Amino acid sequence: MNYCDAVRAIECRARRLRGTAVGSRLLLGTGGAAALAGLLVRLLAGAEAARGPLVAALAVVPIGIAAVGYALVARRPVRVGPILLRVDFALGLDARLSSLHELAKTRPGSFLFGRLEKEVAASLVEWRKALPVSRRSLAALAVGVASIAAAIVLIAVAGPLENSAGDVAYTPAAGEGTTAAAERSEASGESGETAAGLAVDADPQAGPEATEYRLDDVLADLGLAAGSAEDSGGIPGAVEVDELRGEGQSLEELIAEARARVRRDEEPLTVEEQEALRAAAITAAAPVRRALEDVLAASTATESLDALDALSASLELSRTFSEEPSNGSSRVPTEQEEVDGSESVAGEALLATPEDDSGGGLPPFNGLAKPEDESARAGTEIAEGTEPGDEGAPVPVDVGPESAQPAGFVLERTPTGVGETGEVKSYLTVGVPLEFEQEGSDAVSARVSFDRIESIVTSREISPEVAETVRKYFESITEGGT
Amino acid sequence: MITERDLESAFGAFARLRETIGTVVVGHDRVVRAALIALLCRGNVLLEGVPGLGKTLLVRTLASGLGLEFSRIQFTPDLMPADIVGTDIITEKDGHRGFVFSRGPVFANVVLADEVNRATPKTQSALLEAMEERTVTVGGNTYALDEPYVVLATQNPIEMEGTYPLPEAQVDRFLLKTTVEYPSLPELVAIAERTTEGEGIRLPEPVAAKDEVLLAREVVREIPIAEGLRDYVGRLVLATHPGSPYAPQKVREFVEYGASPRGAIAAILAAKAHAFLSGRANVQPDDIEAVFSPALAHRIILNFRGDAEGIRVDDLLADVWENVHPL
Repeated sequence: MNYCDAVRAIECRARRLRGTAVGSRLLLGTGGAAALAGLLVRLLAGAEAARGPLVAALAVVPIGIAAVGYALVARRPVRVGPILLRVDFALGLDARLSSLHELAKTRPGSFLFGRLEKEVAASLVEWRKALPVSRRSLAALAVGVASIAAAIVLIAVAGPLENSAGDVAYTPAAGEGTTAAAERSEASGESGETAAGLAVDADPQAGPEATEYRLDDVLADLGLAAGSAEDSGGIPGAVEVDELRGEGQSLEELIAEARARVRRDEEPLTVEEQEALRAAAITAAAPVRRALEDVLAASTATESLDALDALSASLELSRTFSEEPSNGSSRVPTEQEEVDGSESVAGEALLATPEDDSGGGLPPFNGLAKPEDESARAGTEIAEGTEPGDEGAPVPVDVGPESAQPAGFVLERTPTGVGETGEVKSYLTVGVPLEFEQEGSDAVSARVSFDRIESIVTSREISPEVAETVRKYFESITEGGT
Repeated sequence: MITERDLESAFGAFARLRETIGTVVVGHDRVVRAALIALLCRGNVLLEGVPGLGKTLLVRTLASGLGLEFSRIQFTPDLMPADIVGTDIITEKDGHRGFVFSRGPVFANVVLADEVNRATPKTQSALLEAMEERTVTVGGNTYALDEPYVVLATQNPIEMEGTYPLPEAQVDRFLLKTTVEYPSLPELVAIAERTTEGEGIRLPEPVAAKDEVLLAREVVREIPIAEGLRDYVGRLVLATHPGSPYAPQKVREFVEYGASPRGAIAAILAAKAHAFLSGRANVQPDDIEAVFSPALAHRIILNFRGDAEGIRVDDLLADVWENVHPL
């Protein structure tokens, strides 16, 4: 390769490199601007008809600007001297090439020309290595092209323009996720009713025609659900428990006042006091109500004081019990634990069962009827237990450890099955009175009838329509009978 | 028109000259090279060094090797300009009396101005015209000096009492300034051997002709220097100025005045001569590096702080060299 060809090629490449440097930076700038423009269009514009021209413009304009910049810069002459010196240093020519150029420029007929040309001829073959494309240019080029591609994707590929950037497709699967979240919240200690209510509220449009929702819709639905919950006083189960606790406290105050009054006047309870206590204890647990009956039956001041003390102890025990299992992760003693005092879990849990007046066959805490014993025994009664089928003993039923325990309900072990095959936990909830019968050495059958439940329904002042629904439910799960 | 053969001839002549000088002068390669560069560039050299280091021998050997006329002027405080350049004297010839110009020692090809700083400024300035213009004017008559012409002036840096430091304008007229270092032990032993054995030192026979020196001068000026390297030298020179954007921090702190444009000219010319002496047909960065300090050191004037702190100009130039790059 002779000197003239080499210098011409080097000059040409230097122009191209300079054009590439400018063009790549222009592409980087305009490509970035195109990407921003695409993003803005996607966020703000609504005219889908303009998408095609927009894509074309975003692709063509930056590339066009870069190409024009390249062409303009590449056409301008470059100072070859310094570039040749770069080539000299890169190829180890000790400034011979640039000196040759200087000689050719100023004294083309110099006797030194041929000598220098001979010295550089061998190395000129590799002149291209001395002028690589700079990494900055390559990086700018890559980023610019990527920006343009991103702009095009933003406009053309990623769905209709009407969709805002904040949109998130809401599918039934997402609804299921909401339900799953509700189930998780249920598992964390909330009542099943509350969790189910949230799940239903969170997916109000679940139906065959509702296949996809937008985030705004879901948020609106969630807002409604939240509002509903607020309207109803928050989580129903929690409210109920709170109300029950509030009534308990109110009953406690009445007991304290009555005790003070009886002690002061040394007279039994008045009719007004009895009515007030009865009204306050209407939703209290069965042991509390039984203790209240003793209070109401007392005829002397001394008997009244003793009965009030027993009632107070029963109430305190009932509240303590209702607060303990409030955390879904708290453990409930199992049968084995009750036997040997250990804390093993044998696939059974304890069901909180209300004990009403008619449930005499299932005294969950015998000692509760005797106030003088219950405070001392309360902690051990739960742990002791008896074998399933024992008369008067609690019968195990597996309903899961997450069952919340409203005030007034006590834990009982219930059978794991009802009838021959049914699972009790699948059909029953807290507060359902069961009757258990020993049907052999091991088998225990559980019975439930709406007649037993009706008193509870009536005491809670449930409307007749709901009571009818409850009746139908129990007739359904008991197949028409018990 | 210079041809390739002329080039080879010039290369050969100076190769022989260097070899011949090497047979007499032990060591002092930088000084020998500086003297030859000055000879090739039509310049002059300021040598700085203590007495007894062989400066006179070097100059005499150079003149002898080239077959050139040599003269030595010992500068003293009572030396008069006429003692250097010559004077008109009255002579009588054929019954007619008239003034005849009697040439001074400056009329030679190689002039050694020994301890030039001991003469008065008036006498020192008598050398200016000879060094720069290569002419001598006496009594209204101007006499051209015979080419090749080179002045090698020496300064003694240790005995400064009763001396007259050269003014900046005169120093600037020296192409190069170099320091004559004390010889190393092997060199000292070799010097002792050559001067104490046999017949002692004998000046060499001429190995190059005057015409070859003049031809070599033309060749040197033909040697190309790349545009980028010329720009590089310009930046190096500018970097010696405290107000220049190229100046490193030390220059900004310690320099009062940087090198003049004459410095850039000297550096490029000297680089060309250095390339020629190295047998190359173009100037390379190594050539610039070799002459950078000798060509610029005596053109830089330190400020008071630089003087007070004992800053060496060579160190400043090394800093400049490190901070200014060809590309």
